[in-house]
Amino acid sequence: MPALTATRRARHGIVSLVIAGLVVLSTMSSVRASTTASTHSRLGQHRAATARTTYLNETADLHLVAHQGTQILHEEGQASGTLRGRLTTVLNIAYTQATVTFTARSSGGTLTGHGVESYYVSGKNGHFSGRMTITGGTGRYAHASASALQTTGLIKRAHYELLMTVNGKLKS
Amino acid sequence: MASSSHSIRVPRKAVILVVALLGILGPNAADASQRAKLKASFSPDRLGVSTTVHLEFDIFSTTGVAPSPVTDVNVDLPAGMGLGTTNLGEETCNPNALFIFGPQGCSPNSRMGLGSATVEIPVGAEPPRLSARITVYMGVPHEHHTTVLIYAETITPVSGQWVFPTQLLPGGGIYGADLHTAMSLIPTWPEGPPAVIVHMETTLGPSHLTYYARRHGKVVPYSPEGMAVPEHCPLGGFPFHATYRFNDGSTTSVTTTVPCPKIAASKTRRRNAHRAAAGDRHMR
Repeated sequence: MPALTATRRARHGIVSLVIAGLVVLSTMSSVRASTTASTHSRLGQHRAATARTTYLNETADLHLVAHQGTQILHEEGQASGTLRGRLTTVLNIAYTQATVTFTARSSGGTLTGHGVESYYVSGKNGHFSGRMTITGGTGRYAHASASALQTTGLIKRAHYELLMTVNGKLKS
Repeated sequence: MASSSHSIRVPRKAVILVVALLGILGPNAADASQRAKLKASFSPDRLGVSTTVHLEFDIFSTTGVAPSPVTDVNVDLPAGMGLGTTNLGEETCNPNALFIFGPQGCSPNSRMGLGSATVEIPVGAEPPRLSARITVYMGVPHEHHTTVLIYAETITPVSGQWVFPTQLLPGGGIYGADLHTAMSLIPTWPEGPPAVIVHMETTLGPSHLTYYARRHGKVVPYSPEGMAVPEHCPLGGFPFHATYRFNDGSTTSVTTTVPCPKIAASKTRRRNAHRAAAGDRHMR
């Protein structure tokens, strides 16, 4: 029986060893899994931080710098708000619509956009409003996109001074 | 719009008197079949310069009786023009002030055009006709549409004033915009037939208009700038199109064009001749 006892003890020791080994292995794999998960989580956070959304709230005061005929006006001025910087626009004004193309230059890069706006005249002022789409950019705004930037503008018909606001979400 | 309720302001007794003097017995505007003629021109007629647009239309029936009154007019204007960069109508005119006080109710700087109209009262064998003076004013925009006011005023044999608000709406295809006028019926006397506009001509531009500005304490007259003729003339000229709806439910449409200016045409001819000559040389 002692042999038996010894065998039992030996078996018991082997079983304990196997269990201990399994425990160690499982602990190691769980450590590895948690490490991988946390790495993935960090990467996700990094990606989320890269594709950030900015709420644009720009106001610009522009003046006429050139014109082609009486329909196409090139205007330039300073924008203030989220981006800040120099803003140039080309307005093509017809009876009831104005096509607006703009380029905003800020310290972070440039942003270009385009929109076809409804236009009407009220005495001394012309008014336009509509939505603009971002068509390109450089620097920080190289991958910028927006498709529904709310735009309003007031153009003083006497000397073509343009007051313009742009609002909306910009992904960059 | 408040101005839509504007109607004739004619002394009824005067109208009845006129009708009685003419020996008119009853209305005869029955089932007329209406047609229209439209004329348009630019003055000056040169590409790329400020111009005055002249528009003229005649309404007549093919059956010899007086036409049905027009209730709705759409005039399509050629693409490439616009009011955006002109100072024409640099002040707005309130339609109520215009109706109550007449032209004195609005700034002269709100005037955009001048013209005349002939109004017929469809009664008797020889319907009486009244002449009206037309003035076009820049109105207050309605639902974000540029709005002009067509003000018509008769002096003799009876005096009356009408205001027709007209909206500038988006056009389509070769047309840049649609001038839409909803015309309320022009009442004459109780139980009398509505008057009919049978002729109207008006300008849209600086011709015969003087604006005033105050500079250094003095009132200085100046001429406003009109819409510019586009720098390029489309093939076949600048198109105008008008659709008239009548009180009897019928409609009629008419199209006209302002031919390309002769200067441009002669340039084109010279260019083509030059190209043809160059082509001949190349062939040799």
